[in-house]
Amino acid sequence: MSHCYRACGLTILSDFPIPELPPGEGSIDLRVLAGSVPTGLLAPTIRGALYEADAQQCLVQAPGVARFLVEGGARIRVDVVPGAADQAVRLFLLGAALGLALTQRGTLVLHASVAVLPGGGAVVFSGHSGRGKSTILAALVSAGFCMLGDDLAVLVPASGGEIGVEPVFPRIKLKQDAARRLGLNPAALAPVRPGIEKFQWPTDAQFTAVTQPLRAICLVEYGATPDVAVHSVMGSDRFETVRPYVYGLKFAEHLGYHTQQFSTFAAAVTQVPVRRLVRPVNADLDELVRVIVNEIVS
Amino acid sequence: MKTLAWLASYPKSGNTWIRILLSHYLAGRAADFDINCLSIPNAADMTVFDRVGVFPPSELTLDEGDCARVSLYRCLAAQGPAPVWLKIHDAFRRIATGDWLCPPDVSLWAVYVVRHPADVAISLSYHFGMSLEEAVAFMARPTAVIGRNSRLQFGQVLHTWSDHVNSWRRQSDIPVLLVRYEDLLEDPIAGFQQVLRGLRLPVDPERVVDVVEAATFARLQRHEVTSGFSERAPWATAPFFRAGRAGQWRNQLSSTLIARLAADHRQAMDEVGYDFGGLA
Repeated sequence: MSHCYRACGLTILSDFPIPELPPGEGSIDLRVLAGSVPTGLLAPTIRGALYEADAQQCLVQAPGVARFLVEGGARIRVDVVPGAADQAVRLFLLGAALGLALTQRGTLVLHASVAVLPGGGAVVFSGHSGRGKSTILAALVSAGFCMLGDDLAVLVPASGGEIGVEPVFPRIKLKQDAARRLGLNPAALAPVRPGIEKFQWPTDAQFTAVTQPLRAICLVEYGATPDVAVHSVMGSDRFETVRPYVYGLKFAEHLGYHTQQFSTFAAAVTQVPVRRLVRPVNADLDELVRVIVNEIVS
Repeated sequence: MKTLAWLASYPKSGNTWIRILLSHYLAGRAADFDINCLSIPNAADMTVFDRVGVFPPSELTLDEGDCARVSLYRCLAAQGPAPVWLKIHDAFRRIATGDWLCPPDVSLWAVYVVRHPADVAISLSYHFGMSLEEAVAFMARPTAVIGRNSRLQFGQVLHTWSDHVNSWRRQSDIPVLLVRYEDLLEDPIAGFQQVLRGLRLPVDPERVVDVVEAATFARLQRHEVTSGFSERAPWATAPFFRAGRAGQWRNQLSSTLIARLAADHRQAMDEVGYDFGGLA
């Protein structure tokens, strides 16, 4: 039996259930298949950390969990390591394979969480691992904002030359301490996978299932000083400042930035404000949200 | 091709100081340097993985993280050019798959920085916000790991202080240069020149002096006061650049803790020329 979903602007037909994704229908953009995947590609033209690729295919190794073969942006073949937990397989399917499939399709994906403004419009919080993107999004959701997704921001050309941000799915992944700081009880949340102290917070009630126009990009960084500061990034600096946060950057650049991907990137960074949010490691969450609400999402 | 150069040490052994010296020496500048922007990254820093990986490393178990790291290091090695420096706190060890964490076939050399374990204990206690007793017990724990459940670093397996020292010193897969923190502290210019010669790197005496003078402990402390230091742990109970002296254990460690350290680490201490000066 197959299961049909809608996420990231794609209709996805899967051999196995993916309960994190909202249901979908219509013509299929992406197939998720269970099947055997080779341990390596015949002639990879790029090798990253735990993945290798050529112009058409990308093979991702999630050690001890599964191998994923992502082909032409249209198929993800999943070869599960016997005994691996279903949640772990889905974590890498939705976190890695889906992002690579989108990249193969020429869609611009940023490593980011996305909040929705009260009147509509998306604010993208991008940053490297551990900078607090998900915690910030969760704090905004707690404060009443809606969300489009956590981890991946999917940017597409929209009408009138604007950039649209696609809904991903209604889950936020939080470390145990972040969940506690937000007043959530980690014991009541499902772990992202067994044995990892990171939890999934379902946000279905505040999920926006409609593409939103991009309104701002905020890069979350750690600073060594105790204050939270916001800096505007101007002019051509925006290209280099946002570039490191393109999802699977090395892979995306190897594919030569699909024309559509580059034009989306150029439009995104020139059309909306780009700001750097510099925060101390142990920033007070209330203070961080206050600065974000006053200076970024106001 | 062998391109990786490891700057290895047990935590709080002076690794950061040598890293600052090397980073700025190799970059060819000494003045106006930034302690928050070092060209030698931490091999356990997840940001380094982000640049060449495709999924969030914080969702991996310790064993899976080890696999990810090996793949990351091979990837960095292939990018070159030699030497590709990485700072590392792990013991020299095999991961669950049987492979070495630091792949010898792509590793050029290692610098192993060692510091008197009694001073390490004091520094650890401030860095991790633990008591001296806890720090001494931590250094004797065969399963000691740092960075587990961190949102910024992969888990790093240390083993005991003795096992850590022995793991790097006794391996013969990667040529290793042993540097004693105390020797470098005693004469930083001669010590740093010796490190450079040991690695067959060109020695520019003027640049060595510039870099050493720019990175005196007092200057590093001033940098930390004015611009902070991104590697100071939020739970630390003292500045990262705290004392920078050798032999503080003589006044700060009880005879019980000295006896405990001696019992735990005597053999490894002997091998690298440390003792308790008749106090144990």
